Formats: sequence, C-alpha cells, structure tokens
Amino acid sequence: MPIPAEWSLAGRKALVTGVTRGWAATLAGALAEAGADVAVAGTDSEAVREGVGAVRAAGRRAFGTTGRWDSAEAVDQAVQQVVGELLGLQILVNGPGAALGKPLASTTDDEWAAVLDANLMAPVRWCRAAGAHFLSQGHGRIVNVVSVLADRGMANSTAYAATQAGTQALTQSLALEWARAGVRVNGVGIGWYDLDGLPIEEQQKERLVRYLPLRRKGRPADAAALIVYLASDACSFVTGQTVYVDGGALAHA
Amino acid sequence: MEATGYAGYLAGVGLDGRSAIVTGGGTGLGRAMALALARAGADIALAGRRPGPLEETASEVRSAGRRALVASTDVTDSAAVAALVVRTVATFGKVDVLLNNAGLVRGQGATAIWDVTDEQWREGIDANLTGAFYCARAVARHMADRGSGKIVNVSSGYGLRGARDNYMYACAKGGIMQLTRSLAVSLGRYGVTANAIVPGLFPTEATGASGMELPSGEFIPVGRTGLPPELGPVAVWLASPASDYMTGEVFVVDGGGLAGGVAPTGHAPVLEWKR
Repeated sequence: MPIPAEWSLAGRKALVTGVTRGWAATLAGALAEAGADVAVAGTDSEAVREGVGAVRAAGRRAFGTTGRWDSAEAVDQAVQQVVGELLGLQILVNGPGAALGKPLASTTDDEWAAVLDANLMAPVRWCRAAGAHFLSQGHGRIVNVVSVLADRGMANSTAYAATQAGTQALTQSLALEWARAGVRVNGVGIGWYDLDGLPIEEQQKERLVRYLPLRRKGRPADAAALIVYLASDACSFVTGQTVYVDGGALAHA
Repeated sequence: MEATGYAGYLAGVGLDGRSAIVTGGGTGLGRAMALALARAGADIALAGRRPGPLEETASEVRSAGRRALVASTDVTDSAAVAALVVRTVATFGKVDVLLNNAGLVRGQGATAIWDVTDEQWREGIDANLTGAFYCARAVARHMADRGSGKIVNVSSGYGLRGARDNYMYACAKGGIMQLTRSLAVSLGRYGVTANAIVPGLFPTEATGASGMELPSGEFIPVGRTGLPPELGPVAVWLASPASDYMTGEVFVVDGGGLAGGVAPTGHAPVLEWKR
C-alpha cells in the first residue's frame, strides 16, 4: 500500500536518540519506511545496531553512533556528524527513557542524578544541538517519547516520573519558544508497553483486565504511525502537545 | 538481525473498505474531515441539518471514488439519529467510524450568566453534547457486536479551559471530553475506541457567521490560524487501525495555543465574543 502523502518523509533526514532494544527498530524503521534517512544514537550498541538494521532493511541510508551523551560537547559533535553523514537534518525523535524502580527513601543523590541526566538532560542536549540547526534553516520537527508517569504518579518511581514530567514540560515550553521559527515540538506518551514479547503472567493478565480499557499491553509499533505524522510537514499546526497511546490508561479511574 | 526488517509500520494508516458517519459533514471542519476520510478510502454517510451543503460534500466524496450517503439529520432528535444509523448500515453494511463533529457556534455568543435563559442553555447543551451522546449510543451496540469501532468526538479548547461568559459551549465541550473517556473505559472491552480532537482556531463559515470577533493569527504561538484540511491526517489516524491502542485520549491541533495560554507570553488563546 502506498504511504499517504501526509505521512511521507521522503527526502527528510532524521535522528533518533535514546534508543533501547525493542524501541530502536520501530522508531528508526517507521521513519525510514516513510522515506527518511535515519541516524541512530544510543548508549547501548546493540540497540543502535538494531535501529540501523531496520533503516537499511527499509532501503534508506543509516548511520549509527554509540556514546554516553552526558555532555553538551559530545551531543553537539554527534549532531554535526549526523548532518555531515545524512547531508541535513529536519527531524529529532528522543526515545523513551530508562526506568528506575526504587523507593525514594533508598534512592541516593547519585542515582537520582543519573536517571535525571539520562532521561531529561540528554533530550535537552539533543533538542538544543539539533534545534540550533533547525532554527538556522527555519524548519524542524521534534518528538519526545514519554511515559504516562509524566501525568500520573506511581510508588517507587519518583525519580523516573519526575524526569518524564520534566520532559513533558520541556515539550510544552520549547514548542512555544520555537513556534515562530518553523520548529514543532510534540510528544508521544506511552503506557504499559511490552518490549520483549514474553508471555504474560496470570497476575499481569488480571491487572490488564482490571486497569486497562483495551486489556492488552502496547507495543512500540502502536505508536509508530503517530511518530511519523508528528515528524511530517503535515503537523505544521500541532505543537506543544503530548499525545498518549496508552490503551486507555489515563482515561481509566 | 533479520527480525528488524521492513515491518509495515504505516500499513494501518488507511481506511480502505471502511464506512464512516460524519455529523455536521456539510461545511467547515466536518466537510474537511469527511473528505480526508474518503480520500483515505472510506465510504461516508453525511449527516447534518441542511441537505444542500451535504450534497456538495457528497459529490466530492464520490469524485474521490468513494460512496456517499446524504442523510439530513438533526442530531438532537434521537429518533432521527437512530434512523441515520439504520440507514447507514443498510447502505454500507456496517459503521466502522463515527465522527461526532456536529455542533452549534451560532447563537452561542457571550452572555452574562444572569441573562442566560433556560432555552439558550438547553439549545447549547443539546446541540454540542446531547447530539454526540445520541450518535454514540446509536452506534455503540452495532460496534460492540462487531468487536470493533472508532468513535471520534470533536471537542474544543473550551472543553479544557474556561470560556468567559460562555457557559453552554464550554460545559458541552467539557462534557464531550468526559463522554470520550467514559466511552473509552466502557467500550474498550468490546474493541471499540473513543478519542477526541480538539481543534484550535480554524476560521470557517460557522465562525464567520457566529458574531465572534476572531483574533488574528498573531495570538497563536505558530503565528497563524488553522486550515481545515490540516485536521485531515488527525481524523484519518484516529479513524484508522493505526490508532487502535489509543483510547480515551485527546489530540489537540491548535498551533500551540493550549500548550501556553499564559497571558504574559503574548500568545494567549483568548477569543473575545461580541456582545
């Protein structure tokens, strides 16, 4: 089936960051399927390879880079390298952060700082570095993937939830800051997603039926077409929004 | 690395073989969304009060190669709504999508609460909330029995924020948000999803005739008002299998208005209503 014109990313160059195994192939593969050349950056070289493989399988040019992304210099340099490799950059997708499940009482400053750096500061650095390029060309699309914990609380997830809420706030305010410069900043919210395809336990099944209107875990592919739309020219009048694809989790009492 | 191949992530973005009811499909945003659904492959039943504009949209649906049914319907009349669904099923065999777009902007201008009459209250709530409930109720059993269906409700920024001196519109559109969530939570187990579109400022025939003094695009963060066709891809996404894991949620298309809306930004989404 041909891709509808509004979803086409033909001729576009995209950078996907913060990829983890299970997400890398979908994020990078969906953008490539829509016609974009895609660079993949992550801390996990296996995930980066997964993303690069998906882009090549879709017949597009790929570039992968693995690093720690804990300094502005590293990120700035990577963006310059991506622009050189792909001959441009119009799209930045920051993948979902890394979870930390731990009671606050036993979370150290170092642990809090590490999850904050990986989940909030890294997207900030990528937005700033790619954004400089977007502002100079008067066009850009940013999609930040966050969890429903940006909007709801969960015990033993305080540090993680705070980073997700922070990323959502980043999306809203940055959208306004760059609205007049042709840059759109949006988010995609995810709920209880299944990344490994393992059979679910009985206890989980009961929770799914009780708490999730759609009664199944989501998969990265459930959010793929939305991410492509938010990366496209067609979303010119959408900015500062986080759209949740969560099986009804946030609507539920 | 063979499991990471071309997976057809966009295969679900299409409406081939689907059948949709679009209320208020003769003009404005409803017409733009109806045409987008048709171009994505859906047959369209067009419901609305005035047959003339419905016929015009229908001929464009047919030009796009899809079937169109014109069903002149007042959505605040539950018997007429039931008949609309029966007729659509008889014509297309099923209803996959309900796009609850009909609403009333005309006559809903600013009125101090002490001047709002019982009739004005009822008219505003009926046209902007009760009609959507009637339509959802009329398709829900059919969709549940088939194990699939997509209900897409059109709300407003005033469904999320207060509207000065405008009780009916804000209360009805806020009600649309809650209708959306309750439908999602109730019908998810039957494979039926419900989501809302929140359009920002899109000048249309209806807003032009409403007596509203529309602010210029300068007040919107992106610097312009919306163009009705820009709602097309969002309507198609929400009507298509690609959004099957999204329910009870909101898709705001407003040029950034609701992301900000804090007056000192200079981009507050404030509408001044003529008295």
